[in-house]
Amino acid sequence: MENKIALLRKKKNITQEKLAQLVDVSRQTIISLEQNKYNPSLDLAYRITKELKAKKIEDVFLFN
Amino acid sequence: METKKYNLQKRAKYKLAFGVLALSAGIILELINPRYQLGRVFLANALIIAGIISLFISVKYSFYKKEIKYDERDQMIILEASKKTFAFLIWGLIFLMLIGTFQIIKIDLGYISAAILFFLIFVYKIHYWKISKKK
Repeated sequence: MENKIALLRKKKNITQEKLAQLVDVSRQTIISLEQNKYNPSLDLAYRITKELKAKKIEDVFLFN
Repeated sequence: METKKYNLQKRAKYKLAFGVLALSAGIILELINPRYQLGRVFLANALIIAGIISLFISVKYSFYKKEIKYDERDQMIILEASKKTFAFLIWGLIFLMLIGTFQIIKIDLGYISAAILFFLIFVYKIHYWKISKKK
Protein backbone atom coordinates (compact mmCIF):
# COMPACT_ATOMS: atom_id res chain seq x y z
CA MET A 1 0.00 0.00 0.00
CA GLU A 2 1.44 3.37 -1.04
CA ASN A 3 0.72 6.72 0.59
CA LYS A 4 1.13 10.45 0.16
CA ILE A 5 2.03 11.23 3.78
CA ALA A 6 5.41 12.86 2.98
CA LEU A 7 3.86 15.02 0.24
CA LEU A 8 0.89 16.19 2.33
CA ARG A 9 3.06 16.67 5.39
CA LYS A 10 5.45 18.94 3.50
CA LYS A 11 2.50 20.87 2.05
CA LYS A 12 1.19 21.46 5.57
CA ASN A 13 4.72 22.31 6.74
CA ILE A 14 4.68 19.72 9.50
CA THR A 15 7.81 17.90 10.62
CA GLN A 16 7.93 14.11 11.04
CA GLU A 17 8.40 14.61 14.79
CA LYS A 18 5.35 16.87 15.02
CA LEU A 19 3.15 14.47 13.01
CA ALA A 20 4.35 11.60 15.19
CA GLN A 21 3.32 13.55 18.29
CA LEU A 22 -0.06 14.44 16.80
CA VAL A 23 -0.96 10.85 15.94
CA ASP A 24 0.72 9.41 19.07
CA VAL A 25 3.36 7.20 17.43
CA SER A 26 7.15 7.28 17.23
CA ARG A 27 9.02 9.23 14.56
CA GLN A 28 10.44 5.93 13.30
CA THR A 29 6.90 4.77 12.49
CA ILE A 30 6.29 7.91 10.40
CA ILE A 31 9.59 7.30 8.57
CA SER A 32 8.58 3.68 7.87
CA LEU A 33 5.16 4.80 6.65
CA GLU A 34 6.65 7.41 4.32
CA GLN A 35 9.03 4.82 2.90
CA ASN A 36 6.05 2.46 2.33
CA LYS A 37 7.70 -0.17 4.49
CA TYR A 38 4.90 -0.40 7.03
CA ASN A 39 1.14 -0.67 6.50
CA PRO A 40 -0.74 1.13 9.29
CA SER A 41 -3.86 -0.09 11.07
CA LEU A 42 -7.17 1.46 10.05
CA ASP A 43 -7.16 3.46 13.28
CA LEU A 44 -3.72 4.99 12.60
CA ALA A 45 -4.58 5.62 8.94
CA TYR A 46 -7.69 7.51 10.09
CA ARG A 47 -5.73 9.59 12.62
CA ILE A 48 -3.10 10.51 10.01
CA THR A 49 -5.79 11.46 7.50
CA LYS A 50 -7.45 13.66 10.12
CA GLU A 51 -4.20 15.40 11.12
CA LEU A 52 -3.23 16.01 7.50
CA LYS A 53 -6.69 17.55 6.97
CA ALA A 54 -7.50 15.23 4.08
CA LYS A 55 -11.15 14.46 3.34
CA LYS A 56 -10.92 10.70 2.86
CA ILE A 57 -8.46 7.96 3.77
CA GLU A 58 -8.13 7.27 0.04
CA ASP A 59 -6.70 10.80 -0.40
CA VAL A 60 -3.69 9.79 1.71
CA PHE A 61 -3.43 6.02 1.26
CA LEU A 62 -3.54 4.39 -2.15
CA PHE A 63 -5.03 0.90 -2.04
CA ASN A 64 -3.59 -0.95 -5.00
CA MET B 1 -3.34 -1.21 18.45
CA GLU B 2 -3.15 1.29 21.24
CA THR B 3 0.14 3.06 21.97
CA LYS B 4 1.51 1.91 25.31
CA LYS B 5 3.46 4.33 27.46
CA TYR B 6 5.86 3.39 30.22
CA ASN B 7 7.20 5.66 32.92
CA LEU B 8 10.71 4.31 33.41
CA GLN B 9 11.43 6.53 36.43
CA LYS B 10 8.65 4.69 38.27
CA ARG B 11 9.91 1.33 37.10
CA ALA B 12 13.44 2.23 38.25
CA LYS B 13 12.19 2.32 41.86
CA TYR B 14 10.76 -1.22 41.63
CA LYS B 15 13.94 -2.46 39.98
CA LEU B 16 16.02 -0.82 42.71
CA ALA B 17 13.90 -2.43 45.45
CA PHE B 18 14.13 -5.86 43.79
CA GLY B 19 17.87 -5.44 43.19
CA VAL B 20 18.59 -4.54 46.82
CA LEU B 21 16.42 -7.43 48.10
CA ALA B 22 17.93 -10.01 45.73
CA LEU B 23 21.48 -8.82 46.38
CA SER B 24 21.10 -8.87 50.17
CA ALA B 25 19.38 -12.29 50.09
CA GLY B 26 22.17 -13.61 47.86
CA ILE B 27 24.90 -12.25 50.14
CA ILE B 28 23.19 -13.69 53.26
CA LEU B 29 22.86 -17.09 51.57
CA GLU B 30 26.51 -16.94 50.50
CA LEU B 31 27.56 -16.13 54.08
CA ILE B 32 25.43 -18.93 55.58
CA ASN B 33 26.87 -21.14 52.83
CA PRO B 34 24.38 -24.01 52.83
CA ARG B 35 25.82 -27.14 51.28
CA TYR B 36 23.57 -29.99 50.41
CA GLN B 37 24.48 -33.52 49.49
CA LEU B 38 22.65 -33.05 46.20
CA GLY B 39 25.40 -30.86 44.82
CA ARG B 40 26.30 -27.20 44.54
CA VAL B 41 23.86 -24.48 45.49
CA PHE B 42 23.37 -22.04 42.66
CA LEU B 43 20.71 -19.92 44.35
CA ALA B 44 23.09 -17.51 46.12
CA ASN B 45 25.08 -16.81 42.95
CA ALA B 46 21.91 -16.49 40.88
CA LEU B 47 20.42 -14.01 43.36
CA ILE B 48 23.60 -11.92 43.42
CA ILE B 49 23.74 -11.82 39.60
CA ALA B 50 20.00 -10.97 39.36
CA GLY B 51 20.45 -8.25 41.99
CA ILE B 52 23.42 -6.66 40.21
CA ILE B 53 21.61 -6.75 36.83
CA SER B 54 18.49 -5.25 38.41
CA LEU B 55 20.49 -2.44 40.04
CA PHE B 56 22.24 -1.76 36.74
CA ILE B 57 18.87 -1.54 34.90
CA SER B 58 17.50 0.68 37.67
CA VAL B 59 20.39 3.15 37.23
CA LYS B 60 19.89 3.05 33.44
CA TYR B 61 16.12 3.69 33.76
CA SER B 62 16.61 6.60 36.15
CA PHE B 63 18.30 8.57 33.34
CA TYR B 64 15.18 8.36 31.10
CA LYS B 65 13.22 11.53 31.73
CA LYS B 66 10.66 10.98 28.95
CA GLU B 67 8.03 8.25 28.82
CA ILE B 68 8.89 5.32 26.58
CA LYS B 69 6.30 4.77 23.85
CA TYR B 70 5.44 1.47 22.19
CA ASP B 71 3.20 2.20 19.23
CA GLU B 72 1.53 -0.34 16.95
CA ARG B 73 4.65 -0.82 14.81
CA ASP B 74 6.85 -1.46 17.86
CA GLN B 75 4.29 -3.92 19.22
CA MET B 76 4.17 -5.71 15.86
CA ILE B 77 8.00 -5.95 15.79
CA ILE B 78 8.09 -7.29 19.38
CA LEU B 79 5.42 -9.88 18.52
CA GLU B 80 7.19 -11.02 15.34
CA ALA B 81 10.59 -11.22 17.06
CA SER B 82 9.09 -13.17 19.97
CA LYS B 83 7.37 -15.61 17.61
CA LYS B 84 10.59 -16.23 15.69
CA THR B 85 12.63 -16.61 18.89
CA PHE B 86 10.11 -19.11 20.26
CA ALA B 87 10.25 -21.11 17.03
CA PHE B 88 14.04 -21.02 17.25
CA LEU B 89 13.87 -22.36 20.83
CA ILE B 90 11.55 -25.21 19.79
CA TRP B 91 13.77 -26.24 16.87
CA GLY B 92 16.90 -25.94 19.04
CA LEU B 93 15.40 -28.18 21.72
CA ILE B 94 14.26 -30.71 19.08
CA PHE B 95 17.81 -30.73 17.71
CA LEU B 96 19.25 -31.31 21.21
CA MET B 97 16.68 -34.04 21.81
CA LEU B 98 17.68 -35.77 18.56
CA ILE B 99 21.37 -35.62 19.50
CA GLY B 100 20.43 -37.05 22.90
CA THR B 101 18.87 -40.12 21.29
CA PHE B 102 22.21 -41.45 20.03
CA GLN B 103 24.65 -39.72 22.36
CA ILE B 104 24.21 -39.20 26.11
CA ILE B 105 24.90 -35.54 26.88
CA LYS B 106 26.26 -34.80 30.35
CA ILE B 107 26.17 -31.04 30.79
CA ASP B 108 25.68 -29.04 33.96
CA LEU B 109 22.03 -27.91 34.04
CA GLY B 110 22.98 -24.52 35.54
CA TYR B 111 25.38 -23.75 32.70
CA ILE B 112 23.15 -25.05 29.91
CA SER B 113 20.12 -23.02 31.10
CA ALA B 114 22.27 -19.87 31.39
CA ALA B 115 23.66 -20.52 27.89
CA ILE B 116 20.14 -21.05 26.45
CA LEU B 117 18.90 -17.87 28.15
CA PHE B 118 21.70 -15.68 26.80
CA PHE B 119 21.47 -17.30 23.37
CA LEU B 120 17.71 -16.60 23.26
CA ILE B 121 18.27 -12.94 24.19
CA PHE B 122 20.85 -12.73 21.39
CA VAL B 123 18.49 -14.40 18.87
CA TYR B 124 15.64 -12.08 19.93
CA LYS B 125 17.81 -8.98 19.50
CA ILE B 126 18.95 -10.14 16.03
CA HIS B 127 15.34 -10.76 14.96
CA TYR B 128 14.20 -7.44 16.43
CA TRP B 129 16.91 -5.59 14.51
CA LYS B 130 16.17 -7.47 11.27
CA ILE B 131 12.40 -6.89 11.42
CA SER B 132 12.73 -3.22 12.41
CA LYS B 133 15.03 -2.67 9.41
CA LYS B 134 12.59 -4.45 7.10
CA LYS B 135 9.37 -2.75 8.30
